[in-house]
Amino acid sequence: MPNLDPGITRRVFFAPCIWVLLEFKVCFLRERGSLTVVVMCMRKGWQRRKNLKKQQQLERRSREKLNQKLDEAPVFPEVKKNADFIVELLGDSTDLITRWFTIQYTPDRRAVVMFIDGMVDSKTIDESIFRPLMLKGEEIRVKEDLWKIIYESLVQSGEVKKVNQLKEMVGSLLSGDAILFVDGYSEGAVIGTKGWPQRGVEEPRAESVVRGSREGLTETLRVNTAMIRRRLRDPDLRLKDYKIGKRTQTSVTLLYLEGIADEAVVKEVERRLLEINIDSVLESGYIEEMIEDDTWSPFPQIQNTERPDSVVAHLLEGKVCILTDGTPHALIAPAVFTQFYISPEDYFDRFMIATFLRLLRAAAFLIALLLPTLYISFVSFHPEMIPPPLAIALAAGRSTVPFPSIVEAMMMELSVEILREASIRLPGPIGPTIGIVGALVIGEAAVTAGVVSPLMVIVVGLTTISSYANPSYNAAISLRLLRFPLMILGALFGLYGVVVGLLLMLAHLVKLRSFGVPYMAPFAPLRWKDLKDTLIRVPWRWMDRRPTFFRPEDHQREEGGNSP
Amino acid sequence: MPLPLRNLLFCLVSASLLGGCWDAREIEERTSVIAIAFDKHPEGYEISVQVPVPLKIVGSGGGGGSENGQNAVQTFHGTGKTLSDTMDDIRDQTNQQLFLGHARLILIGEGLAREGMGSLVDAIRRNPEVRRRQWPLVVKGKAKEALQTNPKLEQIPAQYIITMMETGQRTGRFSDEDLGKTYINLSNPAKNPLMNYMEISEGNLVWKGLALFEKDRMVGKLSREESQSMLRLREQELGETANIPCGHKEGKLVFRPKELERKIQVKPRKGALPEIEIFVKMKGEIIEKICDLDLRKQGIYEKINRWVADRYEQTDRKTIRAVQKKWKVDAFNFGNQIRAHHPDLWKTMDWNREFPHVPIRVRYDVQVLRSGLEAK
Amino acid sequence: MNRNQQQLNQSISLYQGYALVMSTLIGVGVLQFQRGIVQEAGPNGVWTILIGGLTPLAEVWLVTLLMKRFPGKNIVQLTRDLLGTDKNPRLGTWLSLPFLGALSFFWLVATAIVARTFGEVLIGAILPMTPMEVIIGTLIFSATFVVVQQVHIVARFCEFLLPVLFFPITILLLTLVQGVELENFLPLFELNWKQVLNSVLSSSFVFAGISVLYIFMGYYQQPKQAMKPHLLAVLTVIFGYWVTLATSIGVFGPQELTVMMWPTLDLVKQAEVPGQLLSRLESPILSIWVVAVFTTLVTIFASFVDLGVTLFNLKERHRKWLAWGAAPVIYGLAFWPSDVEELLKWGDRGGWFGFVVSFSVALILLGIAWVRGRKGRKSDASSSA
Repeated sequence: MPNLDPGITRRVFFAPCIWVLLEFKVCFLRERGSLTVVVMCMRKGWQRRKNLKKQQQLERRSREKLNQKLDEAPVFPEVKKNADFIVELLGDSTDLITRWFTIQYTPDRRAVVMFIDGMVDSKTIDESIFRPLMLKGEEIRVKEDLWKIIYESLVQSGEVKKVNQLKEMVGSLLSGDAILFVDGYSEGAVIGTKGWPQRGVEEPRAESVVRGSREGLTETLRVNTAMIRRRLRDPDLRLKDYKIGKRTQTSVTLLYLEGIADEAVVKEVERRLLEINIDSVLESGYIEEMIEDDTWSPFPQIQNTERPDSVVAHLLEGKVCILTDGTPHALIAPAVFTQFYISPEDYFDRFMIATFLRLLRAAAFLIALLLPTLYISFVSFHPEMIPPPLAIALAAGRSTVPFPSIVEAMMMELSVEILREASIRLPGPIGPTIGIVGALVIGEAAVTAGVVSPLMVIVVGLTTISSYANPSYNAAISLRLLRFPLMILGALFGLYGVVVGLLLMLAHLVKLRSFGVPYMAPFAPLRWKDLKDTLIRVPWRWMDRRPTFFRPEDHQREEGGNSP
Repeated sequence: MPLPLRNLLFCLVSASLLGGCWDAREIEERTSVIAIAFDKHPEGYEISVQVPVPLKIVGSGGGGGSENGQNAVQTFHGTGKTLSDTMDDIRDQTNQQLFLGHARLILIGEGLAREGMGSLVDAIRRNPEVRRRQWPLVVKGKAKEALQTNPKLEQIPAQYIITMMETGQRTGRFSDEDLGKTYINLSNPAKNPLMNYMEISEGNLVWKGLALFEKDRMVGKLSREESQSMLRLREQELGETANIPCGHKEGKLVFRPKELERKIQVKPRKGALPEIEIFVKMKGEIIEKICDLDLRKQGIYEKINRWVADRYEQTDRKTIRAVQKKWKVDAFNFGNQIRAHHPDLWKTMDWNREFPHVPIRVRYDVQVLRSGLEAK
Repeated sequence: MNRNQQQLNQSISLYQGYALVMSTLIGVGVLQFQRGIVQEAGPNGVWTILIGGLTPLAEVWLVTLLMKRFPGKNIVQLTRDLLGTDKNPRLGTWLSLPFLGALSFFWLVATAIVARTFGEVLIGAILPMTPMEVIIGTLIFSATFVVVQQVHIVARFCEFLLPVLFFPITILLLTLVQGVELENFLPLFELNWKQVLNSVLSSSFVFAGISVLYIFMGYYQQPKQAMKPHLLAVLTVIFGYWVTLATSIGVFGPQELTVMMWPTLDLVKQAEVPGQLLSRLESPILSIWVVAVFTTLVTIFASFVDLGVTLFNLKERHRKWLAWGAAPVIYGLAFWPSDVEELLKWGDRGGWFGFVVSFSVALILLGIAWVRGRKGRKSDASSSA
């Protein structure tokens, strides 16, 4: 007995039951009473449903047939048949251009070039396909095989491939290549003519640095791999291509350094990539969510970056990188907790500055996570901890506020979150204005109106600024999320609640893994040697080994003996 | 697979629905007491608490002019048989619950102090809100009157007293005994508490010396001068400046102590009471001279050293005699030295009874370091 | 090599062992151990606690000795191997039941007592109105949340929190600066033998909880080298307790100490923060203490659960059923003592019982192992997972 997909079981058994109930209800409501009428109505409904189902089945079958055909179909010797097949397959799409022509001096042989308008560089097509084929036909007088001549001398393009499967031809056509059929040959040529409008290489928006490369990844996969290759001229760099997304057929490239990245991790990533069963991949986020270890965690387990230099740095630490076509965000896996709080700049600046900045970021992390909840628990549970003069000021500020501190804090935090969201979504020049209006005007007005206390405004401001100090956007969001449950716990039990909340969070964190690497490494499990590049960054000279928790196969980062 | 986030959220939501926040009381919902005054009352106790009114205090925002002195605070009074009873009486008058976590001043009326403050200490010890670091003061007359003083320099009258105590303690002029130390002195059988003694004069609270205690009962009060020697001998504090006679000449020299080191030695004697010897080493400077002594002369510093030492020894002897004869209570905590260093001796003698008869000797070694910007 | 690495991540490192012992031993006791010792010995507690520390040292030594003889086996598998014959391995299981029963009973009761004492302190010091049910409930709930994980995750949890346990030392230093009286440590050596013995006993109960090693050591990477970190951990704990005791005696004197309910808390009250950033430190120190108690609770509870899992050969995914099933039992047990006095009595007796059980289990089993000449085979790691 074949394995039954549970989904099918559900569909087969439960859906009709639900349908019957629904139908019954609808009919009952419509007919108001009379049982026979209801039954009739239901039968009508049943018929309708049956027809619908039949139709769907038919459609599916025809689709499958087409696919099947496409899967197997070889290139026909008749040009017309090939062209018609493709035109039909693409449903007479308007952007498909089919150019019939005759190769010079062989009027009996019809040829056709097909390409998708807009995805190809028409200049290349004109110059390296049409011009030689139409004008330089004299060489055919040698009376050799036409096809061979075309392939070897006529088509003047670096990227030409002979293909005898129609499916492959269609795939190439859709990814921007031109395809050429010539009468009489059951083979076609794929000619690399990709050229669509691209965004230039720009400075990455999200990960800006003061010092360091200004180049960011772009939406075009090849440009990205080239940028990485340019920075890492290591013959061990491996690129593997996958097509993911049943319909989008998005190109995805897996990059790793053989001999440095852990083989097991590479295999695991590959396995998970191949297991993805999804319709479309429009951004690397789709892939991230499909391959991460624990979808139910608020913490990101795969890092994304827009910077080619940072990709290279991660590759050199023994991680793998996944590039997705159509998005400038590369995925880095496995990832650990600390690496989300590290900016690429830390490695470019001198180590003392970098260490200071990292400690600063750690402080910002704590403030962003804890300040509102500490405010709540101090104000409503432990006022004795606040120095008396401040306590009086606080009490005065709060005495006009009609809400308990948790409501006050929630209100402010939520409005800041909304403000932040709004200023991201707004068109460029207006965003900052809204931020200023929101922060200054609303904050000031709220205080004057006595809706919030002045200290709360400070708290919210500090929290927001601190969460901006985080170099990685997705990790910052997880903090923003966790802040709210912690605030509720703080309002329930004061500091005790906060501590319990943190302990629960930690329990989750130590359990979490990213592709087999413990998320809290190198703190838990503790590896003293790997602490060199966490809260502090020691000088490069001392970082002579790669972090061990990524289990690199080659530990040595530099040869010894380069001390001055 | 447990879903951490969902579980957590579920727990949180259910907890908040169950009506949590049992201990949540917002800061403005607490009547935050800053000073407490205890007095004797025919019924038992009278307690007054001073509560700052946040909205009337400068810098608090909230609009309106700021006020200070008695306008910035409200004082509540209550009477009752026990301390908690009295507190309840006060609670009946306030709209919010009393909160003692910020209280940093405990004023005790002299009448109550002389009667004994045992039950008072018990009640405040049990309360987790009450701080250990706060100032217990004995006030001449009614302690509640001290809360009604109206100093201009601080907004909250009690804050004025607190700052005053802190400064005095830091410069070594007042006793630094806080409530925690009072607890310790009460429970240690060889120690006695000591408190600063205040008096209200012309609407202001003035430090007038030290109150001597025999355990929880006040027995007497030291004058300003006597208090200085008490601070030196008991707590190694510097005390105030001292007027020194200019040798045999007319006029005075003024000496300000800067460093002080005190050693106590107990010398047990067979068949007799032990002898206590105190050795004090002091360094300081001359800050005023109103006599025609020439400080440029060779060897004059050595002479002054002797004069200062003589002067200090004299006062200390006088103080010791007064304490031994008049109040008969070991306010110097010499007993603790005996208990610690001579446990056998301690066990055999009834220190409290025999303290008045113990010979105590004081010796000073003074060194004048400099004499200010005037050479002459 | 990577396969090995993978396995290393699944087991407990030596440093984690150190963290485990430390975080188990530092728990509820920190707040009130001074009173018992000083009541018996006065200022001499300063040295009797060091003698008292010898017993946990001996205990950890014995337990480690036993466990490292059978690497990769926890107490259940160990007794099965040791007491059973090759022909009849079931016999071992049956014979081991009294040992395992005593241990698991202790762990269960200890978890309950720890939770209750915790609630008692919290209500007494910072949350007077919150119902005991809620405090103990949240504590046990969160602990169970950790305990449903595998043992090495529990170890990792303790490992991460270990540095937190060192924070309070700075606060102790603060109080130290603010006035320790030498006289408070005197007079020394004015004791009779009975008092010394009592105070030594009283201080040795502070260190109950080493028995969790019976479980955790079964998952060590290098059980053979575990002796050093274990002894070091116990020494660190003794030192920590000693510093705390010495500071409290120095600041308060023995007489004052005996009248305090939670002396460490009062010690914190006496401290003054430089810079006036925080006006009082009780709540922060209690928060750190929550961490200390939580780790104790988690390790003991996890031992209990893991014992059950191995004894009944449960599947890994059934671990959480056992944990969530035991949680209400602990919750119920925690409410058994009616008042503070009874609770402290229970605490003392529990400490006694745990100490005797773990000591005698180690002794008896070591004896049997020695007589039968049994040693653990080099076990394949998969059997211990």
